[in-house]
Amino acid sequence: MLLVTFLGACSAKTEKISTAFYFWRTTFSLTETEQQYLKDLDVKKLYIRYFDVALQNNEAIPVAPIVFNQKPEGYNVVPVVYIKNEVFLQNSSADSLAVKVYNYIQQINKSANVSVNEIQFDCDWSLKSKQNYFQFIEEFKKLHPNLSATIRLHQIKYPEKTGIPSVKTGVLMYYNMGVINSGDDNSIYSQKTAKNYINSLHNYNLPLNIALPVFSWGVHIRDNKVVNLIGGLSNNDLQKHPFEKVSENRYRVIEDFIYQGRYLAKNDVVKIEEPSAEQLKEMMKDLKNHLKKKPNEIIFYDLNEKNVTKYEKETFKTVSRW
Amino acid sequence: MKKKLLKLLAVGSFATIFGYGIYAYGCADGWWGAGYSSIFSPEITVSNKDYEPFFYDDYTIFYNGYNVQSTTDLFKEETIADWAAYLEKYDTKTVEYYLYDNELNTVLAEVSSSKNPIEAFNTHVSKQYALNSKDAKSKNLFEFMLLSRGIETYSNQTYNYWDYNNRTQLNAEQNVVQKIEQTFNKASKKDVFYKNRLWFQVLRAKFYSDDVSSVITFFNHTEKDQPKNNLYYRGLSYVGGAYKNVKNYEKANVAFAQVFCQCRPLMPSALFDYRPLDAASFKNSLNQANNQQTKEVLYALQGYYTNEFSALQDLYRLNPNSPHIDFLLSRWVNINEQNINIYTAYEKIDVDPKKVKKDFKDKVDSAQVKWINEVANKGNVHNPYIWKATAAYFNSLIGDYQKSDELLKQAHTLAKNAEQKGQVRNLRLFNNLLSIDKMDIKAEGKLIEDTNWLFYDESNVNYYTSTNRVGYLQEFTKKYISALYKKQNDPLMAELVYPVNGFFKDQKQSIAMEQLLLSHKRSAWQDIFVGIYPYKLADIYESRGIYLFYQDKVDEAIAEFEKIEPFERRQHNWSENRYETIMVDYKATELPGNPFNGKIKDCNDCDHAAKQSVKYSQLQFLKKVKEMQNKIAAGEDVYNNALLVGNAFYNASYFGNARTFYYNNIISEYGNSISNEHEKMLYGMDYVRKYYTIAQKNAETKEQKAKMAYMLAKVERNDFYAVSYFMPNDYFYPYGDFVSFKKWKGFEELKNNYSDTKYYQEVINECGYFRKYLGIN
Repeated sequence: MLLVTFLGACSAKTEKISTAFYFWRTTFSLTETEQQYLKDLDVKKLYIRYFDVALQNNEAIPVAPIVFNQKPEGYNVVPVVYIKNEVFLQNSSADSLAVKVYNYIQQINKSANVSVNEIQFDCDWSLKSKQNYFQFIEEFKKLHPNLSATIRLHQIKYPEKTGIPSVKTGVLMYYNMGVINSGDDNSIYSQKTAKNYINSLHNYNLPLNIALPVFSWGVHIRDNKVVNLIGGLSNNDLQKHPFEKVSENRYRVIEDFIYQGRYLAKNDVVKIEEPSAEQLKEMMKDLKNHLKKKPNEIIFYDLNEKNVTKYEKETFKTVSRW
Repeated sequence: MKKKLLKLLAVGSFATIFGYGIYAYGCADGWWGAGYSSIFSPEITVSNKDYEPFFYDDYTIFYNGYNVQSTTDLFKEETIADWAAYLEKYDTKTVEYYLYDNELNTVLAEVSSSKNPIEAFNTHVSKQYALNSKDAKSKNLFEFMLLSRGIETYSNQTYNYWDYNNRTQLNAEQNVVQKIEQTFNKASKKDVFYKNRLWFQVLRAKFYSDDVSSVITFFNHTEKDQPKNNLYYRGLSYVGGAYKNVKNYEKANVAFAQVFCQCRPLMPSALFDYRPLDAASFKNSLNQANNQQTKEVLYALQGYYTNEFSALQDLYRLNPNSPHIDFLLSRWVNINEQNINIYTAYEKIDVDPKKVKKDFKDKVDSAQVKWINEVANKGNVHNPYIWKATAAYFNSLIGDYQKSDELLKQAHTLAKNAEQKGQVRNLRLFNNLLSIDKMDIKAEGKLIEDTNWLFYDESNVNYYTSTNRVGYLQEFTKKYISALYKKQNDPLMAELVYPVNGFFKDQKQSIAMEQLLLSHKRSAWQDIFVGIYPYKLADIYESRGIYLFYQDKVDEAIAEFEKIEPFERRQHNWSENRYETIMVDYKATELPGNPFNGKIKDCNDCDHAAKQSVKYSQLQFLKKVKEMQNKIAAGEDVYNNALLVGNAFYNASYFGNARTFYYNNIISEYGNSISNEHEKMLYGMDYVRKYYTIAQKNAETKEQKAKMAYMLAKVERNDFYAVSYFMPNDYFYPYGDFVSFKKWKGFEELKNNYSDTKYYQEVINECGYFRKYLGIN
């Protein structure tokens, strides 16, 4: 097999790849800044999380469906449905779930006045749920053939074991690489961790687009143990009382208090995980070296004024090149 | 009527829960379920179903998932039964129809404005559901149906989960609220049941109105006349929600604490709605609680979200006998365990008994253990068993094994059921393990019974369904004992107890293990570990046969393969969720392609897909190789036989179509790259070269010579790849300045000497590198 594939990688100039965003909030409306960014970055496509599917009393139900306060006019919308792995761990009929999910998406489409071309599923499937998840995809294709699916790094390493969902394209989630921890390791992105996986990319038989992280969060640490995760928190939020900076990305709580409904005790530490612009470039460089084919799209996760304004627009443009 | 988007203030609504659940997304990768490093089961020790959602879970807010049910579902049966008892005339089926049947909505809307609505209603429904318009209670029911169904629209959005359009929340219009309140005020005090039902409807309507805080005033004015039933506490939940809405968290928490304390079905939603407060505000909330029970719950709930240990002490001081102590204590244990018991990697003995014990001791707060011991000694608590078990566990951790042993004996006496006894057994084994520094007959005696139980008892074998937490203990026990054996220089027992890659490369060790597995004189202690040892004799023989083949000792390899016998394997069938025993026969496994192929282009997938007249198992393959080697030795058709044996070695290498030849549990090389341990063996081309060279020397025709020149070029290339790229890198992919081919000697030979052969033309057709080498595009 080795003999056949090595020829023909020689284009020197870089070219632009389409830029897209994930929209992951539960209410759809775009702030002016967000709209401006989307315009300036020439974004035509939004991957909008429509709802999650989780189990309640062993029944799969939609959770936290999106509400459109504003119609996503002018954008090519891809509904994304996050299905918890637990849903496929039990034996239920995939066809009826497919119909339910499909109809639910249709209802939401109607409410937002959009028609969709592609639908994306996001599921961190495991060996035990693989069969049910893949069957669900087969059933869904009968209703709507144009599907894509998210692929996590750990799923590319042993594709023969993990399986490859039979969809048109995959989106490689280039984040959430590590365990959320109290130490210095970054759970959102670590080049070292990524390197353990990306060498396997050339073996992966599914065209891949790339999803890159522009989100951040705070890891809430007590006695060197992670107690919680505070979504959306960034370095900018912790420059005031009662936080005290102790090192790069780390802040100590100097008195008990409630922060956004969460109890932060004195001496707790908040570690901010926030991929830098340099890291985004580094990710693309590494991916270029390992991907078999140029991706058609770079999708940033996720669209949020706070997330996007942390970076220069130039950063998004530089990163969306191949 | 005005539509409003789903707000997050509904008591126990799903949106709030999942808002919180955001936290679970990020952690979906790499985090294990609750208790992966735990040996202390809250189900067993707390032993109270009501508290189960509140056990410690590092993954979801509630231990048993997102388990807040909508109150309509939660209280449906009770509501029907209460109404049936009140009405007397109708059975529960009929009452259910009146109160919950969706079709009645249109009927009621239609008849509500008629002069005599009950009679109009009776014309719309089938006879059995006709209401008696003369009966006062039936009239009340009808009035209630109209009122409550109007409101149902506002307060419940989860009837059909898969109906997106019906999930938006409507706020009750002010005049609707007023109407219900008037009906409540008019209703006779004497009809306690009906008045009570209406009272709740008022609260509910107010809660879903634009003026949420009006719930509070209404409740305060009217609550003293209401019976303290579940309806009362459902009403009180609305009050808590209303306080939350105006950001009076102290009062809100007091309300939720009362609900938690008095209304079992609402415990999860009350805990979920509780908002942790800082010290000063918490003290204020305590002062606002008007009885001790509520105070106890406040400590418990605050402890749930903040410091469980100080809450435990405060709660104990207030009332040692409080029923809320147990679950807090179990959380303290489970949270500590997460930090103390570190989950360690597979395939590595990374447990050093001495260091482990020191680490345990260092990680435990001895002042806390001292206090736990005091309480366990006094025994003036609601559930002495959990205190004894906890104290025993932590005394093991700080190294007081004798004290732990005594406490466990007491816990055993207090144990109420087999599970609680099993938990004691868990902790006893853990304690005994730590008390041992050396493996000998005495140590075996101390451990054998519980170890046997740990690995063979039905409840532990199927530990997926068991509440006893044995998974971590099984791993820890094996590693701990194996480490002791290793220290005592007993590699055989160390391997048997906890197998580690590489053991079988040593021929002596391999034989020792074989003998042990074959022996009829094993001790009962050894038998425990033979039974759970993952490798069978078949794996050992197969691994040896494989190693021998790569040394070109085909005879001996055949002998090893012939020893392989079919064996039973127990495995979990995930689709049916049960264990099953299957027969496995390595000798019957076939190689996927023809292992004697030797083509111009290596395309393993093509070889696998190609039709084959003869399929080879590993053993048949070896026998065929031997047959050919014999012919070479006898000088019979040497060219062809040597070529085929060369191909055989080629295909059984990393580069060939028969990689499955070396797939073996012990050797464990399944991946795309070969571990350092086996790279020489599996990337190696020595025997390929040896046999190709023999073939080359014995080639008679020019075609044959051309072919051998090319085959040797392939060998040269593989060596180059292996040495330059595969071996120096753990994972390798050709990019950048990767050199895909060179001027192989074989290429030169082919070009210089055999350009007039047919084979030469075939190579040009099929091999891009050769064309490049020749300068043809």
